[in-house]
Amino acid sequence: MGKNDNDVVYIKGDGNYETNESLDKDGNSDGKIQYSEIRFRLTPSLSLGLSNKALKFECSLKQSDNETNSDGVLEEMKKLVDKNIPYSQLGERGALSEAGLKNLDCSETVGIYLHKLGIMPVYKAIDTSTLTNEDNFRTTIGSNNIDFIVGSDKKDFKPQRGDVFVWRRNKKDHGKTDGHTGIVYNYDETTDIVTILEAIGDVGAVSETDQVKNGGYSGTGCSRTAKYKRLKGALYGHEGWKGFFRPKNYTKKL
Amino acid sequence: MDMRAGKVFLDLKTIQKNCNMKNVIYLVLFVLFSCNKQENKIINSEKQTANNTVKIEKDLDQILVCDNFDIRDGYYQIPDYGCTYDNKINKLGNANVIIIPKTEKFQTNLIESHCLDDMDCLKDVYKNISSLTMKEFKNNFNAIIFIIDKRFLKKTPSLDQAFNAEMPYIIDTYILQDGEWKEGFQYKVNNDNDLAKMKDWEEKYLRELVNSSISTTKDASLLEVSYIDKKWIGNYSVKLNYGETQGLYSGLTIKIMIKKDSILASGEGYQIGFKDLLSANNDGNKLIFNQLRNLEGNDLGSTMKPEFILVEQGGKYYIQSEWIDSEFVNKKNNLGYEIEKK
Repeated sequence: MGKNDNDVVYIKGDGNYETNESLDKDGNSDGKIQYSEIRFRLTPSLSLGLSNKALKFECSLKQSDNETNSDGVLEEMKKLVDKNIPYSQLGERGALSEAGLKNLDCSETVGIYLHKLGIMPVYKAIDTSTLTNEDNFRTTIGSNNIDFIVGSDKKDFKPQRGDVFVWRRNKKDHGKTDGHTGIVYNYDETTDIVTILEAIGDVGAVSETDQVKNGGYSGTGCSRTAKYKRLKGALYGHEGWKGFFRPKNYTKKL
Repeated sequence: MDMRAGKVFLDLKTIQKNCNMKNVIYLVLFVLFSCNKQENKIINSEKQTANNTVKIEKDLDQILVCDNFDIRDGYYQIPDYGCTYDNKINKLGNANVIIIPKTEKFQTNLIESHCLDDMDCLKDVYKNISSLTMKEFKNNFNAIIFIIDKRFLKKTPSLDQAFNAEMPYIIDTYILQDGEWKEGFQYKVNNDNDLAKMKDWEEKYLRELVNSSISTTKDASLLEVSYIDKKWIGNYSVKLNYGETQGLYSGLTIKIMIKKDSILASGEGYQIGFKDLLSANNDGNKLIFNQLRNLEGNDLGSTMKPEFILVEQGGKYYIQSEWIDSEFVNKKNNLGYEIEKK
């Protein structure tokens, strides 16, 4: 530090020069090793080191890491949606066969989850039109082992792992008929980001551009692990927002 | 490639036998943007173009205002399922609707940096878009709509979308450019593989359109400027002096050019140089300027809220700004430094 390029560091005969003689040979071969000759060798290493330098350090485990059951149903579902299976609402929707899993839509994905969890005794095709309230939801899955969480349609509600969200619009109130559902894989209170297992159509969700920013999968037209801000347009902020439903009395590990 | 209904018809499977996707993209972009008369003839016969355009222009306009848009990277899109066929608002088919801003007012990067993650702020922008008249809409946006024609749709009222497309189907492309609709290409989708390739193409094509739109965006926030009283339009300049330093006069010359559709400010002087595009708000006898974009030089203006205030009193004009520090020797009153209007 603070030395000039021409300042001599080692000189022939001092022992250190002989060890580093190649530096002098790369330079002017004058029997002295100057600062400029050392820097010439070190600069590429410094650049490489800076380019590989970690800019963000995380010393603690995230909530999701702590809570993950590696053999649980949520983990199994995550592996399934992370295959990014092409999205379609048509085709075979009521079977867990090869044909049934060739394409997925959102409610089909939730149906598979509830069946694997053990609260939907007979697997069948479901859709968001009959998931809009607790009674309909229970009838649809053929068991009472799911509750609508009171207050989950409100702004201050924080979801838990395993919850299922639903929004559904109808022609009368919203001018169009459509809906979406997905499974809560994780909720991070510090960032207010909800990790969702879902199948999403080609166009993508509201605030789709947040996926990259939030660390979710940014592809659309497939199943995926998405990350949404809790209060933005894909969840609470969506027109036709119904809230969250929570499975109970399940026989498998979540 | 063959011709059906006067359009170029691309069967992806056939094309891929002979060339890779990259080449297809270049081919498509080349043909689409070519001004060569011969190429235009290949896309549409004149008669069919006239008939088709007149017939569906209104339907396409309606699809543009079918639902709220959502902000994306450089464009806006109707989210979730796009604009689904309903035979009322949308009489054509399932539509993926994308609008690309032509003016600074709706530039997505400016909107995002202004709104950050505030949903209410974004909702105001969406509300603003939906309140535009069709003429204003077309002045502010180009658009591209991908439509799966209704003849390929199956009614699915109990599913998550009321109409779903059954393969094989054809995707039609319509492009709104400079206020006029043009027919683009058609794509036949036989299977998931075709669809994935089509999506890939769509994404790259859209990026081309967005980039092209950004490069031709007017250097102005038309609507913001149009509400400013005409009395402010003109060129303003002031030369501010630090006095004599080491035998030389040093200082800063600030110029503000207010036109009907744009406001530019520049500063040149001792260790300072900038050129900024500004937005403006009227506040009585004041005009308050904020930076829309730094065009050249120092970008300090982006941190100044506001960058300039122009005050009018008794036919004279005065300027205030963080660019102007207290060391200038020019006379200043409580309205600021006097600035000359030409």
